[in-house]
Amino acid sequence: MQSVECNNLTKRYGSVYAVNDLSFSIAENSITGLIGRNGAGKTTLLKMLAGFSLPTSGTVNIFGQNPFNNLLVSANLIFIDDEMVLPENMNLGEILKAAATFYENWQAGLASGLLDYFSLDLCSYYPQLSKGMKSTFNMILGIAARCPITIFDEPTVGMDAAVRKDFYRALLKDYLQQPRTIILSSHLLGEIEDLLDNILLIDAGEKRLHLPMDELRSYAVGLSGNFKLLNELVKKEDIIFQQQLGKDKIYLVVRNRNIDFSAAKLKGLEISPVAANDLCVYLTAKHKGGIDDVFKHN
Amino acid sequence: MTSILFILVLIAAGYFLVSRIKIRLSHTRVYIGIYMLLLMFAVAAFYYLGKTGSSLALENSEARESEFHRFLETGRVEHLKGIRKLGQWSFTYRGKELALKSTKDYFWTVVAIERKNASDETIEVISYTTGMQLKDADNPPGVKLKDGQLQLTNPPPVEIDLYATVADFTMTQFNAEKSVYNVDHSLAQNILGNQVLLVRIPAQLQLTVDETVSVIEQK
Amino acid sequence: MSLSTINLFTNVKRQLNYKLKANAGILFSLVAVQLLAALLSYNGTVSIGWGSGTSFISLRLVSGDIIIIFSLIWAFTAGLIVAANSQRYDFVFVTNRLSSNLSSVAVLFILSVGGGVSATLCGILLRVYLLLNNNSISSTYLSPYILLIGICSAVLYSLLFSAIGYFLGILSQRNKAYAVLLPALFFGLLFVEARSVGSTRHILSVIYFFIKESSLLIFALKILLAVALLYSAVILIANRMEVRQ
Repeated sequence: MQSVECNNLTKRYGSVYAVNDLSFSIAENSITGLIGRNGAGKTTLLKMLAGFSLPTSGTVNIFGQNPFNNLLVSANLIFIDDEMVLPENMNLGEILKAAATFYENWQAGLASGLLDYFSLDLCSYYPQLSKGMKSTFNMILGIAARCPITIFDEPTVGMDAAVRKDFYRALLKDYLQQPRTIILSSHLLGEIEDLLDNILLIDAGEKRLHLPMDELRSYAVGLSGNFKLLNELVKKEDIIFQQQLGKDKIYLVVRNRNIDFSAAKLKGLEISPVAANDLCVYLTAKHKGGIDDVFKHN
Repeated sequence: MTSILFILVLIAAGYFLVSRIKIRLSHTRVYIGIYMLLLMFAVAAFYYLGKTGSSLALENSEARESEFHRFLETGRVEHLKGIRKLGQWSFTYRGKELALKSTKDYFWTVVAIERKNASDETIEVISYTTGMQLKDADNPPGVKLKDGQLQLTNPPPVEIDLYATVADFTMTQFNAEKSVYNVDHSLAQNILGNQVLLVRIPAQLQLTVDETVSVIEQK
Repeated sequence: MSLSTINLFTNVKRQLNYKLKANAGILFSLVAVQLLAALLSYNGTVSIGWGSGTSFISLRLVSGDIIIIFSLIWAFTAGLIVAANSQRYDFVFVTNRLSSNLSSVAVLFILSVGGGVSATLCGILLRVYLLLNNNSISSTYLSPYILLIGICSAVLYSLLFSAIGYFLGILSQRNKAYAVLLPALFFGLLFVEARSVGSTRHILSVIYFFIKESSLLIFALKILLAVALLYSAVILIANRMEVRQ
């Protein structure tokens, strides 16, 4: 069953298309990474999924229902981001108690365990927390609510590396105990790569890729070697990225479809895998040559 | 215009105040609880005190005044309902003659002279008032016996700050009884009342009265 | 994972519980506002002097009017703040626009009852203080029945003011310009109407519609009707509003 389904989803602010003609679906009980650069439309998309904002055109379905102004969807979906506003006069313990009344599957023990582990005091107040601690507290809310759909929008803002690592581990552990649909947005794939079942890569509001992680890893291949030889080999292929390495030497990232690897090896070209994170960066780059292009033209 | 501006300023100030006050939930409960208790206590006290409150000030002043004069003329003024003693003096006097004199231009209080049956060489002076019993407002006149003269001094001028509590607009809107207080002669008369200085003198004493004092002889 | 089913009124109840706690600071500020107003009332609203040869009498009339008016302004700002907070706090947890608004209405209802009752009783507190500490002439005796009428009408006024505040609050969430335009329009028209004689007086007639009503029952009906209209408008407006922008 599909938890999330979007068809030709478009959100326009004035003349800017924040999300443009996006169609995808996310299967139940999977972890999907929503990857895109800053301003790619990740938050806009997620807010439409959570039912906070309305699409300009197209449809969103969560459990087969329109999430906008939908109590059933709201009861089964939690949206965690760093702009969450929590009451200033209630301490963390009181907020957790209030949250517990809203969610049927709330794990009070887990919440207090996590709070304890991350050394957050039940008696402290939300506005007094640092940015990283706020993110940690939000994350605890998101995990403990155990909603069938859990959305984290850039959840690790301000967290240090150790806390980020612990957070992803906690998320995975709880997911294994209680599988659910998790959407995790980030501009960086690197840290969450091992966590994800699927990746949805968007750029300028449009879908670039929606693949299972293992397919992404073999999606493209890196080739480097003599400029002329390489060009001949990849004539018919999609070049995703190219970089000048030396006078005659060039590095290309090419869509891995029907490249003749044995011929390449014979010609003395080096073949290397492309890291998923790098691939995402290349795919969403405005120029095929990356930052180098800027210097080439000047 | 100014009142509209005032209301706008109040709203702005109110919004500022209400939205800025950051107080912990646990503390809020305590403060609200204390306030509620205080209000409950106030209501209980109000109804307890309410029964003792007098509405003397609102009675007809003319009726009370004429009653005072009737009692005064018949020599029964000390038996008038609601009359209070402000002061009492007693002097031993062996002289044959006594002069009644005001120390200033005129002595405002009526002096009632009562001749005793006996010649006991004692002059008794009692100051009475029918005015309301108010804080800091009871000022008896000055009475002194010196050189065969009973010297009378006007009490110092009094300033009386009064409060009258009236119903809130939320009550008067639905309740025809709108209480309007006007400070007029009648109200002032009821508050200040009438004063009399009762002077009891021995039977044989010869009394001369100065024109600065007005006197009523008791029968 | 099976879906949680949810009933609108169960959720409104949960939200009410949460929002009463989250907005408790508003109730605290009520205490501050009323005590301040009581202090201002202490000198009386009208002071009249009367002097004779040897005495001077000044009479101050004291009522709880200032306390009630301040409390109504508080109720108005409470409406504004609950509106702003409901947009901020509600959509963190389970809600839709209808349950968010219904729970806000419930919160404002409770706050209005608290505001109206305490405003009237704070006036009693002031009277007791005056009785104990000052020269008080015949205070208008407030029978428990009159006190009850005062409480009811103060609560009803608070309901109206908080509903107006909430309406403006939600409207200004939609577009900030409303927050300035509507009060400006209201007070501007009021000012013009108060000055001009004989012309049509829309705003004044609306005000008189409430303050000239001498039957508590009809007054209650008028207030409840106006409040119902305001909240229905809010629910209609809010239904398509986007949140957490």
